[in-house]
Amino acid sequence: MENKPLRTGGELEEIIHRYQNMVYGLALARTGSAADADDVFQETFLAYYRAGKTFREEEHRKAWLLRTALNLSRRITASTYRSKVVPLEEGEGVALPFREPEENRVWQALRSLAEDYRLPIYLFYFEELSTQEIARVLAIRPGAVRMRLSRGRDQLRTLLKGDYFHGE
Amino acid sequence: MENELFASMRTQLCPSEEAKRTLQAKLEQIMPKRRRSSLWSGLAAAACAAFALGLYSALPLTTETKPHSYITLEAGDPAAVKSDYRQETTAQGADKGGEEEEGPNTGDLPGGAYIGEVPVQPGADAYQLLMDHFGGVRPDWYGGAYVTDRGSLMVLLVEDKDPGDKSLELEVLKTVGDLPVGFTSAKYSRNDLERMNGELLALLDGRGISASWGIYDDQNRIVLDVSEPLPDDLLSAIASIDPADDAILIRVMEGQATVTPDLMKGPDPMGDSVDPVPGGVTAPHVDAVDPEGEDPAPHLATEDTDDVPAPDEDLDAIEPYYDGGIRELPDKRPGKVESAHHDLLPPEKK
Repeated sequence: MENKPLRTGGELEEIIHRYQNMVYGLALARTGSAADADDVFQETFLAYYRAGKTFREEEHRKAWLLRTALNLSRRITASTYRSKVVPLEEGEGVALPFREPEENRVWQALRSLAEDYRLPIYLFYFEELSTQEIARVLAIRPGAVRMRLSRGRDQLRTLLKGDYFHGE
Repeated sequence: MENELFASMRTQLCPSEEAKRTLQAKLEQIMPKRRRSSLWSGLAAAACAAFALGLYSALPLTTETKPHSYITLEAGDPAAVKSDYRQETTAQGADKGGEEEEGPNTGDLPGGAYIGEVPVQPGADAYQLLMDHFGGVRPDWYGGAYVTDRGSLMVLLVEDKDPGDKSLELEVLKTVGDLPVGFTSAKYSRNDLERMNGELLALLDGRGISASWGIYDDQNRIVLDVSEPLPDDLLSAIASIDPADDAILIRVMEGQATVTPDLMKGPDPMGDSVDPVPGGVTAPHVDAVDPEGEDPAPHLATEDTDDVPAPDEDLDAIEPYYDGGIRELPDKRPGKVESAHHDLLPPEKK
């Protein structure tokens, strides 16, 4: 079969390769389930292809993908089926996604935060988005982002006994 | 140390290989078939096309061409040029998907409110840049362009291209830079329409038909206005130019003297007069005006009409009127205001 590159506002394969971790990571932070995050990853890029959008700047593409991934994550976790079935990953003794124990400890602490704090923290520290960009993705005011970052950091420092998450 | 930890974690947050394979499979399913076509399927399609062509040429051409359709408009009918063809898809600066463009002020306010004049110059500038980019040779994917009510340039892209392929949009965006531009799909390229327009000119020329026509870029078709129904042979000939019956709109303007007396061609939609080929929107027939006796004022009545006075007729006003001016006011305020009632009293009562 002919193996032409898929295109939509650039090489689609390149776009997927560039942003797959970002989309998957946000979905995992939001849903807590690797299977759900895989689904969100697929649906996000399918939506991207179907939308056929043209972005003037790369930042707009990134924001669109994050926003779409977030919406799809919410849709999955809000479904009736999901409310009755708890994924295995959320149960006790399920392997965490990282190699190092320290990394898993940080991730567990992050996962224990309420969503309002967890997502801004994830986007700020893991995706290195500015407060303005986070505000755009989460559709909240930049001031609210700063407030949630501050409170989320406080909680994480308590959970991690002062390690990590030391201010902006 | 902290950043290294987060970076390490970020690299490990990746979807499973199974999810990647599934995504790839789903994308291949929804992509246009021609992108997935193999060499063999391409050859098979070519063979089918050759067979169909041979079969067509072998058949006797006994069927007569069906006459082209037309519509009849009565006097004052507003259903004229505008159609529902226009289908804007993507517009630069109007994206709502997590991005907020700060485009030029188009004069539109939320809720449909409107203020001021719409700046059309950016759209015109974008058009000029696009034409310069083409260098006089329009590509076949170019279906035309027009400036929208919002003042941005809407570029028509011929729809047989892959909708997921944004290379053409990117080419235009790269050409016009920051100027406002949007895209919409079209069936006919501008080259196709100009070819049809030229053939239409050849058909109508010398037949003594009052008509006016031009290419309407915003409708992606030619609009032909005639004052009376065309004969069937001419409609059949037009149908041979436009076999799909959607590239030429024929409008019979009954009871209207709106068409120009001769065959004419209008200017380019963007006011670009350098294009010598037939095309563009209709315009007043300037050749019909005698330059010697030209009078810029519109004549609404003839001089022989009794209702209209001659220019040198004495036009004394019959009815007084107040034009709003204030004249002959006293320089000083009166020192004492006396009522009219007081003035009317007899002297002994004062």
